[in-house]
Amino acid sequence: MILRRYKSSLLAILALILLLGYYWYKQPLILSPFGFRLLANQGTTLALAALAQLTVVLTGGVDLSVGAIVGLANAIAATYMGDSPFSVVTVVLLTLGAGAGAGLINGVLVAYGRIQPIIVTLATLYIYSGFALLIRPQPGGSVPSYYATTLTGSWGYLPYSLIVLLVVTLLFRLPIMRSRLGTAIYAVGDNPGGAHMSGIKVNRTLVSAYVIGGVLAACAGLFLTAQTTSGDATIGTAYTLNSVAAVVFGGAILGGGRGLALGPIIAAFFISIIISVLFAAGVSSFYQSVFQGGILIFVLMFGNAWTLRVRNRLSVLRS
Amino acid sequence: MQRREFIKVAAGGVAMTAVSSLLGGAAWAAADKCIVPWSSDTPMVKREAKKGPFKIALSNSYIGNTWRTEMVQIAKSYTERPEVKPLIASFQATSSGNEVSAQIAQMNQMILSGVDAIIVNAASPTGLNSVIDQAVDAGILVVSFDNVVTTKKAILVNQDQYEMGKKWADFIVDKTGGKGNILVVRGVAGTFVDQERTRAANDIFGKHPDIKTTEVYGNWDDGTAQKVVANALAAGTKFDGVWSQGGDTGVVRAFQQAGLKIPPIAGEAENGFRKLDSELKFPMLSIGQSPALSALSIMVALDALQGKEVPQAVSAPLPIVTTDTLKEGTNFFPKIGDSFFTAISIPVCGLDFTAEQILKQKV
Repeated sequence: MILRRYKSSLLAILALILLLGYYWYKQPLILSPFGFRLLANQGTTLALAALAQLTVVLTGGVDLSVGAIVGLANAIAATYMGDSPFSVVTVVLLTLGAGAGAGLINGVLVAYGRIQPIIVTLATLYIYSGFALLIRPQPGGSVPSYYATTLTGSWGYLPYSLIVLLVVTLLFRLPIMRSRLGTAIYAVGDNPGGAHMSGIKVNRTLVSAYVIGGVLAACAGLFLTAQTTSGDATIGTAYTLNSVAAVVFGGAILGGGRGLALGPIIAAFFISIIISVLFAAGVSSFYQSVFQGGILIFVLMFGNAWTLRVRNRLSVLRS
Repeated sequence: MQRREFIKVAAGGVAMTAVSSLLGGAAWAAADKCIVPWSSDTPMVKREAKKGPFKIALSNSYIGNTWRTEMVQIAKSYTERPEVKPLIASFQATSSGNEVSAQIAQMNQMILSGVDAIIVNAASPTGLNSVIDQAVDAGILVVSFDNVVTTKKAILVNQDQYEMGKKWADFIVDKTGGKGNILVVRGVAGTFVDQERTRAANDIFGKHPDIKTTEVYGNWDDGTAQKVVANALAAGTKFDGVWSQGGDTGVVRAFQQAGLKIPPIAGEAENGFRKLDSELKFPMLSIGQSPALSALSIMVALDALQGKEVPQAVSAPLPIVTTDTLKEGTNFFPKIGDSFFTAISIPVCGLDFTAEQILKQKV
């Protein structure tokens, strides 16, 4: 039953296990508490960004502004955070609010403006990056060190970043996805017409999904701020397409309606760690991105190889 | 700039570029010291002496231009020198691209593999601070150069970008008599180097009310610079001087294509720029950010590892060349491509490299 439910995530899990196995062979120290912490910290930002992307992808859209919201959150947090616990909490809430606001704008434009998500979010990508640059024209700013250690430190073998990721996934995202709203998001992504006919308020669902996506992207930005302890408006760029890659690799379908959180999270760790593995393996700088892309394609092809052998295309759709 | 002072600067350039110059130490007293503190209040750092040989890693960010490639090649070539080799147990150079998270991952990997020192050319002045702190806590020496970082835990090695921008601006003021239209070709927006150089230019030009500046962004790239300069020329303004931070070959070409007389140009140290100047003889001041900064950083790292006292911030000498001091085979190379960076040697530090030595290194 469980295996069946998580079948779509299986590929990412197997790939990550193989990758970590090879990494461990090349660099045994990753099994130390320090190594664990590094590995966990490395993937968490992208994992959160992938959750943001997944929520939007489930509705059948795609959010190109994820990276810009990550950068915006990073700029806000590092610029205004200050030192007192009160200001830290305020700024964290403010940042999450900014993420929600950014998501709201995306959602309203998509749902009520009737514009294709890819174009809406491409336009807002520029707008949000612009705001981030206005807030933080040059890299800089700072966060208190206790903020950084609370998010990126570790207790023995247990890295706090994994706890952060679990808390966000289980206490924020899971309850929403299990609620009526969550069911509506899947329904709208699978078949908007059908959802409408069954009495689901399609527009409101779409807007909610983008808002949730915005909040999750802001979470990614907050974690990134703890990791870099400073702000840089342009830092988020890489997270947009990598989050899409993680979502697809993690078994979600870009057309919408299907996908679970586990796969994209695992895939995000795979994509984040692969670069360290290439360094450890001593692959020349010029070939690293070639290998990175090549491995992704290889893994995805391997995962889909079974579809080539089936007799009927319908069984692919049915799976 | 006063004319006498300018001659002195030019003489310094000769002293630094021509190996067997008689002017040497006398004309350029400060230049015969290699490792110079950034300013008078720069603290000195001293570590417990370790026994070599050492594991050194070079963490580079962007690799897609000639400067960065040469920088890595020079670092490799330096570690293979007979006097340096016995001190090096291993040298590994990797480039992560201009993505902060990738460079963090790369440096984490270096920390894990237990290197003694990391030499870093950063993708962001602030984004690596926390990983550098981690490295320092793990007992690793971190030396940051070129695109430096803001944390005080790393040793900084760089040329004074403000000083470079100021020397260029002084030259232009001197050649134009402090009046006229000046074209300012900036680099990549948002980078520390671009900001510092431009700040100096504005400080100098600001003192001369008769100077009007027009700013364009050339991204330190010949193609982009040529395009934006051509656009600026097409707007019809006659420029009396050009202050350019890079892509200078493109800047000269744009003037050539527009059929205009080439005004005095103060710029970087690309081979193409100097080659064109040796043909066309327009007034030129060429100061290069030296790719040998990587070798200098390794030198400083080895000193610090062996327990020698070094400044927390090192100001590397500026290699200056003018139209009169151009010398084929030494500070420009007619047989090599235009984008090659000519400031490959820092003679005061004993860091002399030939173009062949560098080009034969694999990246």
